[in-house]
Amino acid sequence: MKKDLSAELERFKAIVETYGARENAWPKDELPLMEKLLSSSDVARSLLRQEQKFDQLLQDLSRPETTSSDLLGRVMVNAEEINPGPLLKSLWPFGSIWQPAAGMAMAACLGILLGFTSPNILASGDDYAQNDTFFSGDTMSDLEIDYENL
Amino acid sequence: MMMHKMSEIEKDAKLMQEVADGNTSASRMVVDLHLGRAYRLALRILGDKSLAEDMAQEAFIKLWKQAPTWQAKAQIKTWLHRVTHNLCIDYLRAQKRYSDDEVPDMEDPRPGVLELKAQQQLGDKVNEALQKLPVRQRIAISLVHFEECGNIEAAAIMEISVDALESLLARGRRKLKELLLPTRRLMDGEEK
Repeated sequence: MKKDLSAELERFKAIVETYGARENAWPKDELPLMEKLLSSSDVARSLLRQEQKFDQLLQDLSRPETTSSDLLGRVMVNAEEINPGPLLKSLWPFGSIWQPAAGMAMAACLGILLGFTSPNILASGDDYAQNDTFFSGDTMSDLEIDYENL
Repeated sequence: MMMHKMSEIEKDAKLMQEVADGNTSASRMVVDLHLGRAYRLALRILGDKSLAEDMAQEAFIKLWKQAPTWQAKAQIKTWLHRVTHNLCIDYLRAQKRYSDDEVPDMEDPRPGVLELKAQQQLGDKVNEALQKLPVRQRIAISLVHFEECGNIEAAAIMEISVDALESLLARGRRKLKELLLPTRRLMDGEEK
């Protein structure tokens, strides 16, 4: 019985000295043994505390390294170059396409509607031109003839 | 746990599909979640910020290229760790600073000047100590202690057995304790 406990404690020691005090890091199949020893053995708890101290030291002495904005920019440019997405998206990169498309369609419909319902300005212009010619033609020659006959 | 992992893998697969479709927000999300990890792993392996940035960028180029054919078989995190690890190992091999037949506890045979430069750049006691460990111990410690990979995942990334990983971790952690003990004593002294 004692021999078993000693072997189990040896394994416990090996695990915490290898993986540290963080339970998440321990091998999943060893968890029942670890939990059993932690609840029953002072030696196991003492071993764990030692490794917790070292883990804390690793935390305290580590400086969190962040990525530079330059690297972030380069990686994002690579993403857009390698997977550019549909052509439509590259033409309209400002988000959803249905809003500008609907706006353009509405404008086109309004234009057609106005075209059909408004008076024919061009045709009226021709009428004036014809009238102009008609009056300037006959009336002027009539006037000239009348003038010569005076 | 397995279910949780499966859903993570499926979530990542959906995200990668969006990346392949050119969704910039999805790419940005992947970058926000994983660029730091890839960079930190490369930094701990190589000990040089500029090189680590190049390795992280290269790993992401591979990830973007992989996006259209990405399959729900692995988490992005694990995939990137593996690729970053391999890129760093290839670099160290080219520099003749890494060998598969690494002698146990062999020190990283870098010239002192480079080591000093790396230490100055990092300005971080743990990283200083890490740079003094043999490469494979350094990688094992980085993956398990700093990137919080499980033992099976870390062993898979390094393409070694779990027993071999445990051996590297145990020796690496012991050596780290030796290297950091003076600092700890100093800190304890300052506290008193």
